[in-house]
Amino acid sequence: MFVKICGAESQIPEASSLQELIESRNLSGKSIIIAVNDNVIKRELWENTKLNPNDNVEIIRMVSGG
Amino acid sequence: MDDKLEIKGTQLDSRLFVGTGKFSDYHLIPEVIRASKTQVVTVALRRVDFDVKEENMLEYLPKNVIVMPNTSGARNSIEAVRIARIAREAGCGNWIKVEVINDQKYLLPDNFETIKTIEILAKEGFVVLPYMSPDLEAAKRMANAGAAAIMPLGAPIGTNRGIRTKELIQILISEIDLPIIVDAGIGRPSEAAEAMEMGAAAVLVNTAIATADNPVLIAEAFALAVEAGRKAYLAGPGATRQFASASSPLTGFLRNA
Repeated sequence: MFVKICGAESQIPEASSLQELIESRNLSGKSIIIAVNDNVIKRELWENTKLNPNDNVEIIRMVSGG
Repeated sequence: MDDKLEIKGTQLDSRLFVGTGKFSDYHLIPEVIRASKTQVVTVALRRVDFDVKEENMLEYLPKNVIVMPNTSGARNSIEAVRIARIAREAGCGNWIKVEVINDQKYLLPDNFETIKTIEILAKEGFVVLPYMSPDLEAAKRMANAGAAAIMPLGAPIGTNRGIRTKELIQILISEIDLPIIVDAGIGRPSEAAEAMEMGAAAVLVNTAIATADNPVLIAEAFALAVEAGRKAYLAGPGATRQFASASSPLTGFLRNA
């Protein structure tokens, strides 16, 4: 199914969970923030949050800035 | 002497806020925070780059500072509000530096979109500190919209050119009943002292610290300068005059008539 990840259209397996998504991108969950359709999803819910077609996923981190 | 800076109920001892951008090495950040005695630091939010293994900058921030995300990257109020809401939901607390910029040459903020952003975020309980181009009418509208402070620029971001907008900032200090925090352009501790002597409530410094040869030492200098400038302001400096006024008595000279 198609979802948007960080602004880019991506093809991912049906019923992927957020946990599966970040693992597939080789990301450590430690310092990242995930928002699906502008709602931040708490870390403990990543395993059980399934993505739907056309979901807008933002994977964000806090970085240095002025 | 109790001279704390109060922002929406939070009392701060330090009137120096520090930005975390542009450091050559994240390890400098906790040292700079310690040397500057700052209690408020800014951070940004960005999409993760899947190809780059990046350190978690948050690990370098001590637990006892207020972490204030900025809405950098936002080109309008819709984008700024989105960033602020995500930052808060992610656990960054409810302080937010609103930064809405459409100008890539001077990075001057868009006061109009900033006002709209404050109107929304203040109603949602954010402690909003807007970065703005010093203009009295815009500042009044930001104050009415619920801003917790006003942060006018001294000079464009990253230029280290000092307080080029001095008279406009002076007007804000005189007319706006909110802390005025000079943010952007301060290049030297003497310029931070200048801002504080004018009556600014605080200053926010980033580039001048991060790009110094010795960021930790200059952070210490900035802390001293901010304290000195604040004390000078509170002490009520003497008037300036056009003509000289002798400092020693004008009678009893040791001279022949």
